[in-house]
Amino acid sequence: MKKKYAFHPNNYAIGATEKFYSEMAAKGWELENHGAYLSKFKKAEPKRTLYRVELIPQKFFPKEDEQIPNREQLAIFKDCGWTYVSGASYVHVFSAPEGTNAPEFYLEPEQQAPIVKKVRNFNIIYLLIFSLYFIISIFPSFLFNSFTSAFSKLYYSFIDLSAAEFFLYLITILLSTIILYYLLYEVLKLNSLYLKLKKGVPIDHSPTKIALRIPVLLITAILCLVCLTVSLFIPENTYSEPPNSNVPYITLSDIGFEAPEKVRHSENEIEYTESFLAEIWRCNESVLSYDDEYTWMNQYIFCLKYDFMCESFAEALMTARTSAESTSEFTEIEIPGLDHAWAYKKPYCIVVKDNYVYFIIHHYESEEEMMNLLYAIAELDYE
Amino acid sequence: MVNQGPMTEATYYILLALMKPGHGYGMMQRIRELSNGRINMGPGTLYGVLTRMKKEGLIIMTGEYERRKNYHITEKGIEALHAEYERLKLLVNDGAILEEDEQ
Repeated sequence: MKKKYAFHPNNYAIGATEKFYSEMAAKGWELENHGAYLSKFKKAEPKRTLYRVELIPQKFFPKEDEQIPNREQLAIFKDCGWTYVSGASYVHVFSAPEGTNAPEFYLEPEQQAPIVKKVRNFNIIYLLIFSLYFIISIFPSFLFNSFTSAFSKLYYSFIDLSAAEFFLYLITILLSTIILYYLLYEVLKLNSLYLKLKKGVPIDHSPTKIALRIPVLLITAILCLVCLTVSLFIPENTYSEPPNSNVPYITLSDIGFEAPEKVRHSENEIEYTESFLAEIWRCNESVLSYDDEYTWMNQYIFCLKYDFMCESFAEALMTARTSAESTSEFTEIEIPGLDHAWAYKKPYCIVVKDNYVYFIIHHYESEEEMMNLLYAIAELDYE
Repeated sequence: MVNQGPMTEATYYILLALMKPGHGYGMMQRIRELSNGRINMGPGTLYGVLTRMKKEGLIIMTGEYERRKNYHITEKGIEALHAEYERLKLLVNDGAILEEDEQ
């Protein structure tokens, strides 16, 4: 038995689907199975067959042994001359040989409107659920923070991404948008069908307009897999510090801190990463004296690969990494040699110099100490 | 008796047909007879209305699991049908002036 597979028109293109199957039957291909995107045909005698689609609303929690369509429905349709062929999602296909005068499913279009409304509403809920999932998975901080804060947190999180992660992130957003758009389009199509039926316009079972048979969701899913595979081959972040680099960080002694002669413990932990968008130094310097005085300084230095990012990234740091709600809570300080310098509360300092952005957390003993820090950065000479 | 709104034509004729219990093809024939060939009920409408009437308690389904089930009109269904018939009669009788005008 010869078999053939073909993509059928979209779920909401009812008339086009009906016409498609009639045309296939006339060419000698009888519909055997109607799937989510693909239909399976078996070779048969060319026959003039009428196909009709009945919409049956999907259920979120179908009962275990519930058959859709149920036996009653199948029996009634059979009694009227319509044999059930196959179905998927809300589309269920019935057939009757041409010329048997099997009645159309609905006397009046208005009678079909409520069913279409139910299908539309189910799809609206589906769309909302997916939208929520989309927002939460891509912008998790939007749930708990203000808009600006969430955006800056998102921006900040980009800085660490390797090229692969960055690429993946963008692709995921693009593909999710495509899926969202398609789901929305389906809802709009169903709604327009509902409104037409309510107005008394029956479904056109043989539309002249050519319906595209492109399985959008299927293609998007495949693209997703392709991108994921490709991204596996993009190099990861490197972690070794490049040789011959002038270290861009400041130490406690640079700002005038005098460590006592004998210290219990002192260290300067430096973590270096090179990501897609920047070179990053994360430094944590601390000194613990015998008097239990603990002095520390956290320094994050971002050498951004793209100049235009510097100022906006610095501003993102303000709301992403501190309790500040807006950039206006930071006070700007003019220092020759620095592009920008800001301070907030006591411990926070943000500096922009060339394409370096500094984020420093340290409890300054005095205003003088902070100024020392700023001047020390101003004096740094990058290669 | 709860004052119900007008019944759809489909509901009216299905209830009328079910004054004699039946199912499927038999019902369609009966509806055609009762309406003098005017109404050729479609399976979509039929199934939709039957499901709704079952929920509203106007009809019940009987029969064993494997055999074809029969539909029966209930007391509530008979009442509703009579109420609708009376309502329609009122409308027709009140519209008698239309006949007078023709004279």
